[in-house]
Amino acid sequence: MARNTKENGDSIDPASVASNVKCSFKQDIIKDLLNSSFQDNKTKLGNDALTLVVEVAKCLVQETCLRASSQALRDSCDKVDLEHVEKCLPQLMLDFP
Amino acid sequence: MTTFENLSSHQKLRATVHRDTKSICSETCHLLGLEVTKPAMEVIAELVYKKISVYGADLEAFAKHAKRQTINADDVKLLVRRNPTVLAHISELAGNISSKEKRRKTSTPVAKQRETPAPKWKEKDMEKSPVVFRPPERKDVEAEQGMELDIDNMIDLTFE
Repeated sequence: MARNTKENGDSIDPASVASNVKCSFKQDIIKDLLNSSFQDNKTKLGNDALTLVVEVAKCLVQETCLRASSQALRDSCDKVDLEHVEKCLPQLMLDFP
Repeated sequence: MTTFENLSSHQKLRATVHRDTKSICSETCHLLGLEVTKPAMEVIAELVYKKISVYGADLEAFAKHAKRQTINADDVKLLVRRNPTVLAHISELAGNISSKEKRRKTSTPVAKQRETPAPKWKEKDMEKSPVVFRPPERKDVEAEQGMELDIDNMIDLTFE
């Protein structure tokens, strides 16, 4: 995604990792969650829109993981901990509106 | 004792989002050869939960502004407009979905006439762009995952 961190030269290739992840969110879960956040009961969710929102959510999770992972590698840890996630949160929140 | 059935619907949604997020997180990080700690995954899950709720409100507002009652793909594109790479990814996916639907609609009435050329077309497509045919594979994978998840159906309910 919107990564411009090539400076540390580690062996992360975000695109290949992101395309290899098979898990995803269940569509009906996201649908229920979106429906519960609608204020107007008349609003409906199209099928293609639901697929796209699921993909956006998956992107968000993967992006957070990849950024936290590169942060962990930079700190030479082999476990991604809370501090690594916290460190990359502000930029992530700017990149995902 | 807290079981999944005793939770309110909101808590159930939250627990399920947490479970899905954890599986994506651990898969992504294992591909990189790293471990993820539980608090880190919980923070990410909570982030996703809140973010999707906000997306819901935004999407509703976008659809309302376009004087529609149904949210469609254009609203989602508008939602991610500020991140060009995500926008490109989503647009590509939206194009795939719409072309597939069109193909399904046209193929049902003229299925008999196109019996011979259709398989060739598929083969060509497979060679050119395997991306188009990814969703069927995913369905299989999802089914497998569903079975796995049923087996180890231990949802962690220790979050707030």
